[in-house]
Amino acid sequence: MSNVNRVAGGQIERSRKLSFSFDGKRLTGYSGDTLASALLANGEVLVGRSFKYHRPRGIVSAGVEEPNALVEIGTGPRRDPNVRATVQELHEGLVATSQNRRGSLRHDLMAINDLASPLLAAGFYYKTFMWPKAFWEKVYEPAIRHSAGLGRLSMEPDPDSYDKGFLFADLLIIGAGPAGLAAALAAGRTGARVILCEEDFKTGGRLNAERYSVDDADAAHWAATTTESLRNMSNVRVMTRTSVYGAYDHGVYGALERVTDHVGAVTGCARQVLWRIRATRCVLSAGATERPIAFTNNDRPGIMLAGAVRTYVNRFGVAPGKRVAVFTNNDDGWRTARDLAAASIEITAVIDARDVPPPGDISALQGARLVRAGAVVDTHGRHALKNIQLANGDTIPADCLAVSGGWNPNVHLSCHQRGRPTWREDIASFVPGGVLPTGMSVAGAANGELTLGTALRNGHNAALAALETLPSISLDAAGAPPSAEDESGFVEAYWRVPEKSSAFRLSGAWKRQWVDYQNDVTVKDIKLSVQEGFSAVEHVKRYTTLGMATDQGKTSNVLGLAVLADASGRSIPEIGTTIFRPPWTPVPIAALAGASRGAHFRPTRLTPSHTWATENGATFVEVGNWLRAQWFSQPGETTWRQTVDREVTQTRTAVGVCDVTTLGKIDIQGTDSGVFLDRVYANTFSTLAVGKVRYGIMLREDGFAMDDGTTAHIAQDHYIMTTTTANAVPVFRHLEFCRQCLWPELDVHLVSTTEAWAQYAIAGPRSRELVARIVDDLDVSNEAFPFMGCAETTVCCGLTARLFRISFSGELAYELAVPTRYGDSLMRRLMSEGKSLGVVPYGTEALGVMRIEKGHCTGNELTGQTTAADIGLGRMVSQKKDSIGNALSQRPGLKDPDRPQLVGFKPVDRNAQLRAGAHFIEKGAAVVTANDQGWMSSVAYSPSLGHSIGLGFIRRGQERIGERVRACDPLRGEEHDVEICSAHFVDPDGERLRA
Amino acid sequence: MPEHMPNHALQPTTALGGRTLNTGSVSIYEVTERALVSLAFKASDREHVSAVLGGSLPAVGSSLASHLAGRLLGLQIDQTWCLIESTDSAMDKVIARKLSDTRGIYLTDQSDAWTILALSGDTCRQVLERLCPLDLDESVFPIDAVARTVIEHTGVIILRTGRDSFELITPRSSTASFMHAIETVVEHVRNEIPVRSQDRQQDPTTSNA
Repeated sequence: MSNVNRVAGGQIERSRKLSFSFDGKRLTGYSGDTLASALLANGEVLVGRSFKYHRPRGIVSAGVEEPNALVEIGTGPRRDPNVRATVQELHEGLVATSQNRRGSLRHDLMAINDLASPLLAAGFYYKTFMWPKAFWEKVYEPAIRHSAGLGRLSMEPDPDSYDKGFLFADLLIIGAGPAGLAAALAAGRTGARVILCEEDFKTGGRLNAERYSVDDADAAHWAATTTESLRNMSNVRVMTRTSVYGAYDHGVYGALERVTDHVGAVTGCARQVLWRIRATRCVLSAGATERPIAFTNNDRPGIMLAGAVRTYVNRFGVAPGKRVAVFTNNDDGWRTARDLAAASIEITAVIDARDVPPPGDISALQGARLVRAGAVVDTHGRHALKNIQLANGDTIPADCLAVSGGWNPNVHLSCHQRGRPTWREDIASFVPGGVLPTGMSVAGAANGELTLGTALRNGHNAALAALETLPSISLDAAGAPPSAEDESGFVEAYWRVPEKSSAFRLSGAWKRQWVDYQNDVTVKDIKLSVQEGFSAVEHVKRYTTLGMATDQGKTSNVLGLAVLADASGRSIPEIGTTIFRPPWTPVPIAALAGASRGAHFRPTRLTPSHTWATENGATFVEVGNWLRAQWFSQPGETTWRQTVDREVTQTRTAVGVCDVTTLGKIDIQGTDSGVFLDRVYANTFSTLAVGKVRYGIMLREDGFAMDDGTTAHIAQDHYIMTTTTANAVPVFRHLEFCRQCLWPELDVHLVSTTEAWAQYAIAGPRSRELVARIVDDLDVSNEAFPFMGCAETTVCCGLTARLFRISFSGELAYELAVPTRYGDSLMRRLMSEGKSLGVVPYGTEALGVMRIEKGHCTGNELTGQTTAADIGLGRMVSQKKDSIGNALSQRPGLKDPDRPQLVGFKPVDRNAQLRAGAHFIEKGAAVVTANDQGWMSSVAYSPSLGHSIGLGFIRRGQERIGERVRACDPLRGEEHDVEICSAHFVDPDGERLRA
Repeated sequence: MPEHMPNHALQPTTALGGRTLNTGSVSIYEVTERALVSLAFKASDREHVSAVLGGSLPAVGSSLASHLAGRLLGLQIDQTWCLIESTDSAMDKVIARKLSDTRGIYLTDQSDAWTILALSGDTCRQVLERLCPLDLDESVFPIDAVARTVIEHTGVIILRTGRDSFELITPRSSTASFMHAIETVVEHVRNEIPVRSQDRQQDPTTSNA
C-alpha cells in the first residue's frame, strides 16, 4: 500500500502523482515532494547505512543539513552519488538507490563493523596500520576505502552539460525565508537591483513548515504571494534551487543553480549553472539549523530533528511516524507535539530536559506522557525505532522521536573570509561576528533572531540599511515590514544526556552517543581525542573526522564543541569553531568545469590555410591553442618519417611552403619606435634602414634570454616585430608594460596583428621563382631584394602584401603576408603556381628538422634558463646602449665560461637514434647528477645528412668540438656515444640563404 | 569601380563563411562587410585627434558615429577603433587619406584580425549572462557602450547596439570555438524555457490537499 503515512494538509499537488523507485521498489509520491518526504510517506524509514559502522540510518532532517539520507540518483552515466534525499525533488521515473552497503540495505554484510566498534574508535587507522609501511598505500588504504565510504561514481563521462554565468546586483539576498522575503520585498520596492537566492525549490523557508501567520494570512500563503509579487518586479530576480555556496573577495558570491535536477535529464539543457554573482551589498538570511541531543543510540531510523518532523507534517502532509515522542530542551519541541496532534498523529510523550512547565496550550496532548527535567537514555529497534527509554527506566513506545537541541544560526557564509562567529549565551549558539565579507549584513535566524516577527523586521531593516549608502536609491517606497507575532523561543543549553546519570549506567557504559551521524563520530571519540592530546578544535576535527564530508557537520559541529568543552574543561566560546570554507553545500566538479571539457577545454585557433591543409591530408598538432599542420601525408607513405623526410628534401632541393601565421606579429608605430626597440632588444634596431629586417634577441630583466625573432623596418616610424608562437602573448604583454609603465613618455604604439595577416614561409632554391610568380611589380632578384630585406608590395594583381626575405630553414627563403581573409586563396595559388617548380607544403615537423639542421633555436633552447651567450649570441648584447636585461646579463654567474653552451651532436654510430632530454656524461663516469655536463635539447633525423642529429648544451661546448661524450637517457635506459660538433649542420656559412 | 571593391585574383573567405543562426528568440550572424581600423595616439593628443576626427572622439567605454571614420569605439585613452562599412582590407590607408592631419595618429587595419558577430533577440541578454563577465544592465552598459572583456578564454570587444542587440568582436582564428560556445548557450537557454516555466511557486491555498 503506497503513501501509508500521508496525512491531510501540506503543500504537495495531490492531483499530480509521480512514480519512482527506491532500491528497485516501485513507489509513488506527489509533485511537491522531496524524495525524503515521499519515502517517509511510503513508510520507508531505513534509507542508508552509516559511513564506518554501517549502522542502519533513517532520515534526520528536511533540508541541506541531512547527514544520513544520502542516496544515488539515476542510472548508468547519470548515476549521481551522495544526493541528499531531503533536497532531491521527486519527479516521474526517479530512480534512487541506497549506497554504502554490501548486500541489501536491510542485510548489509559490512554491519559486522558495528560489532567490532570497540576496536574502531577515532584514530584507529593511524594507530593500527603502521606496519609494514609499504602496505598502507597498496593494501590497507584500498581495503579501508572499499569498506567505508559514500556512493559510487559511474566512472563514465558525464553526459550532461553545465554552464557558468555572471550576475550583478545592488543587493544579493541569500535565503528566501521570512527575513529574506521581507528584505527582498523592501529592496524590490525601492527599485534596487535585487537577486534573491533560495536553495529550496520553494521560497518561504520555515514559513512553509510551521503554522504561522504573517500579515494576518497563512504564512505559506504569504510567502507564495510575496514571491509572486517579487517575480513581477522587473528589478528583482528570484532564483530558486540556487545555493549560494561561497562568499569571495570584492562582493563576489558563488552560486549553483540546479536547472533540471527536478525533472531528470533534459536534452539540450544545462543541468546546472554555476553563477558568479557580484553584489554591492548582501543580506545573509540563510536561517538556522536545528541540532540534535546526544544520548545513547540516538541514531536509529525514526529519530529525527523536531523541526523536520513539523516540516514533513505541515509542508508535505506526511507523518514521520504513527506514534511520536518528543525530546527537547526548548519550546519548539512542544510546538512539534501540538502540530502533530493537530494532524491527528498520536503523541506518546514529550520529554523536556528543562525543569519548566509546558509552554502554551497542552490540551491537545492529552494521553501523552509529559516529562519535566527528563532525558531519553536509550532507544531500541534495529531497522526502525520501536521505543525509547527514559532516565527512570520507563520505556515508551515510539516509532519516531522528534529531537530538538536548539538552533544554530547558519553563519557559514559570513565566515568565508576568516570571520569568526561569536557566542550568544541566550540562544546557546554562535552568531556571525568579527569581520564579515565586504558589504554583507546578516538578518533573521542566521543572525540569531529566531522568532518570526523579529526575523521579518530584521530582514526588512537589513535591506534598507544595506541600500542606504547606495546612490540614487530612495528608501521611501520600501513600505512597512510584514508583521507577525513572535513565538516563544526559550532554550536552555542541554547537549547530551550525562554519563553520570543513574539511568545511563542502567543502559551500560559501552553504548554510544552519536554526535556526527555522517562520520560515525561519538561522544567517546571526542573524549578520546582530548585524552590523546588532540584537544584544539581543528585537531579534534582531523582526529575524529567530526564535521567533515558532504554535510560538513551542519547538525553536529556545535554539539561536538559542547562535548569537547566538557571533556577539556573549557567553555564553548573558548574553544571556538573550526574555519568555515566554501562550499556551503557540495558543488559538482562538472559545474566548476562548465563547458570547458573535452575538445572545448580551451578555444582552438585555426590557421588561414586550415581548410586547405585538411583537404590535403594534413595531420595537425596543437601548438598552444593553435592547430598547425604537422605534416602532409601522401599515398604510399606508411610512416610520418617518410613524409617528413620527403618534405625536407623537396624543400631543400626545390621549394616548400609552410603556414607561419602563428608566429606573433606586433605592429610598432611612433616616432620613438626605434628607441623603444633599442631598449627592449639586446641588440640595436634604431640604425636599421627602412626596407630591412634584423634578427633580435630580447632578454628578461634578470638577463636570461626571453624570446627571439625578426623585426622589419617596414616604413618610417613603423616596425613589424615577430615573436615565437608560444611567446606571442607574453612578449606583447611585456612590451605593453614597458610602453605604459616604464617609458610612457615615448611616442610608441603597439597593436597585435598576429591574426590580421596570413603569412607563409616560402623556402628552397626555387623559392625566388615562385615568389616572382606571385608578386606584381617587385624585383625579387638577389641584388634588388637581398637577404634580410622587406617591402610592402602587392600580389596577384593588386592585393596588399608584405614580403620579407628571412629564413628559418637555412634555405633561400621568403615570408609572404596577405590580409588573413586571402590566406586560403593564397595558399591555393602558391601551390598551383609552384607545381611546375616542384613545390611541396611542409608542416611543423619538417620545419623543426630544418631548423635543427641549421642550428636555429626555438623554445627547446630558450627555456628561460639560457642566456644569449649560452646560445652563441653573446655578442648581440650590445654594450653601447642600455636595454632590459643588459646589466644583469653581465653578472659573473651568467658570464661563467663553464656554463653549458649550445653545440651540435652527432651519434658516433650513425644508426643510433638520439633522444632529446638525454644528459651528457664523460666517458667512464657514473650516470649521476654530479657528473652531469649538460643536456640534449632537440633532436631530429636529418634527411640531408642521413642520420640522427641533435642540439644541446654542454659545458664549454664551443671549446670541445670534436670531443666525444655519452648521451645518457636513464629514463628510457638508452645511452649513445656522441661527437660534439657545430650546431650548423647544413650550410654553416649561410651561402644558401644569401643566394 | 567603388573604392572597396578588390580587383585582384584572390578570393576572400570569412571565419565562418557568413554563418547565421536564428532560433526565433536569438539571432546571430557573422558581419562580413565591415572594416576595423585602430587609431593610436598619445593620450595627451586627444584634443588634437578629436579635432581631426571632426570633433568626435568617444570616451573610453563608449562609442559614437563619425562621418569621417564610421563608428568610433573608445577602447583606451590612447586608442580608438573605427568600425566602417567596407570590404576593403586596407581601410587604414583610406581613412588616413580622409583625415586632415595624421601627425601623431597611427592607423592599423585590423579587419582581418577579428570576426564580428551580431547577436540580437529577446533572450540574447540571457545568453550573454552565461558568457560575458560584464554587467550588461542598461543602467551600467547602455546602448553604444563598448568594452574589452574575456569570453570563453578569449579577448573580446563587446558593443551594445540596441536594448537587445550586441556586437561581439572576437579573434578570427578562434571564431569557430567561440561560435560553438555561443550556440551551446543559445540552445541551453532555449530548451530551459519550458523547464523554467514550471518553476512558479504554487500557492498552498490552491493546492488540493
